[in-house]
Amino acid sequence: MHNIRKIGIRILLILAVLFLYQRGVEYLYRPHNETITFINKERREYDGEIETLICGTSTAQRGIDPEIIDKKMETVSFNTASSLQPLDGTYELIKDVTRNNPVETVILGIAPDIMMKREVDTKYKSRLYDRLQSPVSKFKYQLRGCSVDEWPYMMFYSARVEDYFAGESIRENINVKQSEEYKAGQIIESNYKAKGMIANKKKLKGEQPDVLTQGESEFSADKVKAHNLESLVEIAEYCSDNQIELILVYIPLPGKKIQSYGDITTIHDYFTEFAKKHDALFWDFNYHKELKTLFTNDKFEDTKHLNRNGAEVFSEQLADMYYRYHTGENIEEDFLDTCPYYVASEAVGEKDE
Amino acid sequence: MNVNSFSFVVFVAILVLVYYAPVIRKFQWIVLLVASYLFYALNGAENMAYIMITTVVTYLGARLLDGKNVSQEQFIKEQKGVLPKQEIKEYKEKIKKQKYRITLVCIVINLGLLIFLKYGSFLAGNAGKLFNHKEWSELSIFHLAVPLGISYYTLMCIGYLLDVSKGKCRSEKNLLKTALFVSYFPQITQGPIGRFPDLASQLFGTHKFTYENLAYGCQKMLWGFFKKMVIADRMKPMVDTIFDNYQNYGGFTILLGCMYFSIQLYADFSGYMDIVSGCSSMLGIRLAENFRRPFFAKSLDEYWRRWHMTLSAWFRDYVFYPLSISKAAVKVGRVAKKIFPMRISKLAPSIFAMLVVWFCTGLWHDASWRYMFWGLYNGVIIIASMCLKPQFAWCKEKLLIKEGKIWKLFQMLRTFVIISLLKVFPLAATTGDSLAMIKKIFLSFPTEISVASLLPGMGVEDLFCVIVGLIIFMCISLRQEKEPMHEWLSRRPFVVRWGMYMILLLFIVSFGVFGTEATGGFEYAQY
Repeated sequence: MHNIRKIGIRILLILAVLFLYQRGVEYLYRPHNETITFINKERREYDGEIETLICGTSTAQRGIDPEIIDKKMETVSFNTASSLQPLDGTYELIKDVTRNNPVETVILGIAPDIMMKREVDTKYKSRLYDRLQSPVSKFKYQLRGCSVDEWPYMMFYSARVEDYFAGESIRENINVKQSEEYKAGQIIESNYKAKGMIANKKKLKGEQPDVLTQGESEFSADKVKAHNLESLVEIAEYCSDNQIELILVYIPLPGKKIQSYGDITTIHDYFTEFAKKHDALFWDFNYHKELKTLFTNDKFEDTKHLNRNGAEVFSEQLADMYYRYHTGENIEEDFLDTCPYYVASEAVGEKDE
Repeated sequence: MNVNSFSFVVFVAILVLVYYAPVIRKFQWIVLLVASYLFYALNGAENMAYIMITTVVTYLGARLLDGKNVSQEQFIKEQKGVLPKQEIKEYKEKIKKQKYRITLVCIVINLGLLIFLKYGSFLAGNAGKLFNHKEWSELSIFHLAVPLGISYYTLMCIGYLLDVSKGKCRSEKNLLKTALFVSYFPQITQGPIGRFPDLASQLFGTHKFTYENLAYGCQKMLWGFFKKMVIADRMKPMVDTIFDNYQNYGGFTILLGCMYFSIQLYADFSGYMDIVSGCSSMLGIRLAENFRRPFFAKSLDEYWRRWHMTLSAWFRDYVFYPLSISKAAVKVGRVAKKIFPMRISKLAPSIFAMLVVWFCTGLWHDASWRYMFWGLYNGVIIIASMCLKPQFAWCKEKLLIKEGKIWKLFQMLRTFVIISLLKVFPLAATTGDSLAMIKKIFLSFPTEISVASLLPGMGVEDLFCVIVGLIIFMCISLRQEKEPMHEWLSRRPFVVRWGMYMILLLFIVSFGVFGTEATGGFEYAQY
């Protein structure tokens, strides 16, 4: 008994020192204008109000503007998507948000490459981990989605600091964090008040052939990793059990990209079937009738992501479709049976726009 | 699961909880066996068959040998005074021959597995070159994965068999207990090479939880993590930069690289030893010491008595001693008597045994010519210093050199330079590269000295960590020369003691290199 008390006190001492040290390191090294800090701050401001939750990878993070959806639908939505967001993490994130928000709809930007990934880099897992707000969700995700060796990286900010001798940025951090304006919340980051969305004004330039031909692994159902499919099923079941509407969205890709993508039909078929089986909706905007006219190259910042302009157009379309769907209109008519870039008459022998 | 990973810490924490659970007390050794096999499986389940074969062969061999010892004892006891001495002697000879055969068969099987798996490709390649069949080296049978720790556990098993054969210890009756001795997880990947008489009672006995064991184990593990993650892993990129591109660097930089590697390897290997020995101490099992501050050695001979001590001791006890009194050694002595002066010829049997030992030590490390050269060079230097001892003493006297701190420091530096120079063999990718590096060290002199040539590939943060780490390392090593660190620490006030632990812990959390992908694991795990 004496031993147990002695050990207990020492463990508490170690934890206390580690906690204080981590707080100190975070204060010194976490940039005062780090996007995630402001996204989390804003999400806390909306606590208890979020009705529409946007999840997924960077294509959803940059492509879906909650502000536009809110105006059209008179709802409160929030974008919690992050780069290469792993699906087991998305599941925990949905539960984390629904814990204290009346979520009615989840819009999940699908990412075929994520479905085929065995493992996502620790860096990307940490981006999702930082978006989880409840300690329970964080712990659950650590157990579920991270290997034990990744735990220190998730838990200790000191393990993430890349340059301990960045004197200039430490000074700047201290100055800003000590200032009255910062404490009063007057110093903000540019993405603050964007409801979690991060937009870029950059435009896709030129043909970028090397980027376009740098083909990701071709999608096929047998390449989908079992744990990713399990997580997606869990998301669908969780939504269904909690009367949450799940909309899977395939965000538009630039024409050049689609032409080099041999598997867009496979992706479409796979998710259509999944949605049918799990009582979800699937809106494939790469099958949208107006794809070629609405989403021209200038609507993209690179070969994957919509830019600010493109996100506006896309979010308008999405919100409109969402509105019309709920008013009972037949939105199926907005889509073709095949991708517009694959319509035979145009595709044969003609890959350029 | 590498021992410098967070998962290992969790593994050990769970094991300690289970191991000391009151209901488990009687079955502690079974918990250790399960943990050891689990650890082994997590590091490569496909190779489990080999360790099992070695275990079974060793178990059967040891049982047979023990049986022979017992029957001999009984026979002598019963027949003493009944049978004539000559008959008893003949009986002893017969048993000795039988034991020799059993030992030989077991060693051939165990060593055969090691040779086949580790040296097969090397032997086939060289035989192919000799007999003009280059395709032999390509045969897939010679490219099987080398099981984890095979070099270590094979030596342990051979040592055990020889100990039983000589009657130094009794054999273990339980196969599973033998399996635990062979596979005990803290020493399976990189040693220390334990001896059965030292380990058996500890491994198979019951242990009561004590705070002292836990605290001592944690201290050792913390210190090991510090050496590995802060010093060794921070130095690794610099060493790799130099030796991956040695063609672009001058001789001085390569020499520095060898010295850096000596320090890196010591921090890496001894860091590992501290982690596993700390872990084992928590379980109430003290492993053999493998390092005793080798950089304080004043000669190469002394260095090898301080570095990888269990390997040196194994070769000393099971190869050197038997060989130096063998018939072959006696013959060498006779031949030497005719050629060399008395003093040298007296040393001849030892010199012969030493050369064999060093050749085997080189070969044990890796199946390549450069390691054989490395082993032989070590042997040649030690033999030369042994033979030239009177000449050195004479020089010292003539140069009026007195024994003192400066002389000792000079001897330590000289030894450090020698062992660093020998590192060109393990560092290079091929024997040709080793020789090219040696040529550069002695023939390519620097025209200008810059930071890039002194510390290539080293960032400011790395440099800071390495310098601070080495200062701490040096201070602790100096203290350890006088008394064990934990004893010194136990006399400090709580605040000082815990202040030191916390500094080490925070240093590791902040500056330690996490993840085996970044570090490539431990250097000695490849042997």
